[in-house]
Amino acid sequence: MIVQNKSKFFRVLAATTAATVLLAGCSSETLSTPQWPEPEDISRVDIPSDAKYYDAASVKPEGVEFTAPWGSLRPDDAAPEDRVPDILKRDRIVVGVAQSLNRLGFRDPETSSLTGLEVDLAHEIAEDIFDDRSKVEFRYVESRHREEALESGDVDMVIRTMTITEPRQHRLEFSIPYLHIEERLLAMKGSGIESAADLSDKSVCASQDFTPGLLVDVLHPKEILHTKTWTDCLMALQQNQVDAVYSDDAILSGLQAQEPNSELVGPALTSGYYGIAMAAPSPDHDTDGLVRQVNSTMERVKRDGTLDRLYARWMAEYLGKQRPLPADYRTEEQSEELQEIRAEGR
Amino acid sequence: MSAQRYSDADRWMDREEVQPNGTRAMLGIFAPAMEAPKRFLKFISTTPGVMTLVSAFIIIAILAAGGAMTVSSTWRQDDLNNLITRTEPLSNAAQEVFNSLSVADSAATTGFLEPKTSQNASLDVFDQEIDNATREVIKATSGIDQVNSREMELVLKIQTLLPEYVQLVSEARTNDRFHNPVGASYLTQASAIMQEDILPAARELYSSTSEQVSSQQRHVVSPMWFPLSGLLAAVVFLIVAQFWLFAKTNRVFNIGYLGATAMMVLALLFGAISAGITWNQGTKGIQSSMMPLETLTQQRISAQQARTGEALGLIQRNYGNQSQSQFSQKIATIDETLEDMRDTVTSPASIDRARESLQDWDSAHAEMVYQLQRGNFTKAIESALGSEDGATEEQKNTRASYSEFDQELKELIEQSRDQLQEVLVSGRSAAQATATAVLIMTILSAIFTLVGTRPRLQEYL
Repeated sequence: MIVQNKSKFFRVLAATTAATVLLAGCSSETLSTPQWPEPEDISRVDIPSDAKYYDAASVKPEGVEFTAPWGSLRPDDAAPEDRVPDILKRDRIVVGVAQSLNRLGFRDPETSSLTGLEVDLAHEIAEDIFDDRSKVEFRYVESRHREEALESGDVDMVIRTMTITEPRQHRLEFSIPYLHIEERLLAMKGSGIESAADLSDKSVCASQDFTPGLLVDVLHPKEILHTKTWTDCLMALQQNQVDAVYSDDAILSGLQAQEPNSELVGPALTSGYYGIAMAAPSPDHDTDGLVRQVNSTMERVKRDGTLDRLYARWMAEYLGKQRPLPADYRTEEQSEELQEIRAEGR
Repeated sequence: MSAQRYSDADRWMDREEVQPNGTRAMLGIFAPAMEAPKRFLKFISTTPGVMTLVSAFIIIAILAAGGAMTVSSTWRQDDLNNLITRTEPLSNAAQEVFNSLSVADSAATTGFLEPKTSQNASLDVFDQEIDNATREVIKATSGIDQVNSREMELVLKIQTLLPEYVQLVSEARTNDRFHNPVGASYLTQASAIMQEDILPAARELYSSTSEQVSSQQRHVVSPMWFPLSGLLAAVVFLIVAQFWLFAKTNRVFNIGYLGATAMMVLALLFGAISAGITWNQGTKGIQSSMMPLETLTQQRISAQQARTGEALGLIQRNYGNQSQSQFSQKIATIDETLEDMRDTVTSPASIDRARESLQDWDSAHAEMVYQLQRGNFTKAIESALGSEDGATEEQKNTRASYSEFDQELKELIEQSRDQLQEVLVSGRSAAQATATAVLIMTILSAIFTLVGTRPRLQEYL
């Protein structure tokens, strides 16, 4: 009887133990380790603001047919009073410039004043109109709004890394060139990039001055970072977000000056000239006199060595010897032909 | 199933399916137990029996009601403690994070405009605010119970992006020192991360935590109806019992029962009045502290963002009409909101002063934009920062007006928070007092009931 009781006791004990083990097993499942939230992917949070990555494979290449640009308007012997009476009345010229392009147009962090080759050129133009270098009002213009700013009359002229091209001349008028430029690549030293051919598995940065389609056509990279400003490209290069920057050597040299470990690589991909842009002369916006006024200043600074001094001060260190600048002026017939093309476009 | 097979009386233990023997044996065990209720029934059919039963019932009712009240008050105290020591500090830390980061970004951008030669005050402000934000993020983390909550996710996001931001600002400063224009790019990028990623996360953290404070606060000031009704029931039982006792014994007053009733009425009054006061003050407290606290904080940040935008516009020099209209809109919204909440805060004068500074700022800003659009960068900076050689008091600049505004709002926010804490702490001491008082009165009441019943019983024994 005792044995039988015992056996029952043990059965109960065994059942209880089993149940306890089972329960314990269940509870150990609910007591899992805490589930920490997964951090969001922030790897691309720090790309420049308003910048965008493009996968080159998904961008349609757009080639540009090269057409020789037209000449400019030849300066006459008229006085500023006859050429630009409105500007004289206003007592200052309004010039669109860049404010963060090293050596071309930038704000000196120490003095807060604008300085650079293009800024100095604007002062030379003011000197010839007012006999006063300081009568310039600078406006910051974003590269993609340069043409609108000119056409709306917000600014009299834009001196901001504008290459003289034939399609642009349909809407704008250019002075004779002030700088010869070549499009090249800027990469970090030791990156192994020696020319555009090395870019097939690399990413390249350019500002909105270039369309992604054009970049794909010229460079065939893997990826494109399209930024708002050129300094954004330098920042991306410094932060390892891109492998190279593609631009005019004048712009790239300004970037290179800010990053000692970078270098201009490869042969020139294309070349061109920077000119001072103004609105095309039209019945309601007569810029004919202004263009001739600017060209006469250009002739003067080339003649009296001012342009050489400016080049030596701002560019020579990075671009080497100054390259010769043409001074083409168009004939009456050519002017008429261009007027027709412009009239068609309007 | 032969009878012989189960003749051994012990065998039933292993044959559970055999019911008849088992039932009989069970009855054998329970039979004496059944005697007790019988005896009890007999006892309570007598007068002293009924009396004992009634007094026992009343004592249980008193203890249950008082106990419930005490326990509820203690829980309430725990809730308030949790609110004071965890939820509210978390919300406050979130407020600090939100504000510090916004001020830091504002200081980083304005610092860029200041001449590098002089003692750069913005630099100190930036360092202080970043230090503060880092500390407050950690403080906020300690108030989060659930690691997989949205709050934790937000804190993690802020903590991940903050070093990124600080690094970009330092890079911007270094480049600026070397006169590299790329500094402006770094600064713009840093500010974009702050304004588009970090601040929205901080804002969400703050609004969700302050929402928690509001709802918890609303909960802890609501009257405890259930325990209060228990107390009321106990009082009713006591009164009914006295009428019954009067009918039974023909004695009008029973000192014990009277005392017990008085104690319970006191406990009920104490609980009810304390609940009423807490509810009244707490609701007012929410109206005058929690709601303004949230709105004021939002307005302060909004003003800081306008200030940052202003400075960034100067740095990038592309302050266009769009930025101008955005600025005016922001200022108008802030002004309107402040006007609306003038009557809810404790010091409307501060609101008036803040709005005055806001107007000054707006006009100084208009002057700045005018100078900027005329290309007069130096004059524009002067109207933004104030001129070097300490300009006259008359000449308002955006920095001075903005600082005045920010200072006023800061004080208003601090006042609101103090007020909120006061409401919470007084709620907690009320709950504590209620718990103690009700407990004492309940015990006394139970003793009084016993004391009142004993002599009546002795009359029978």
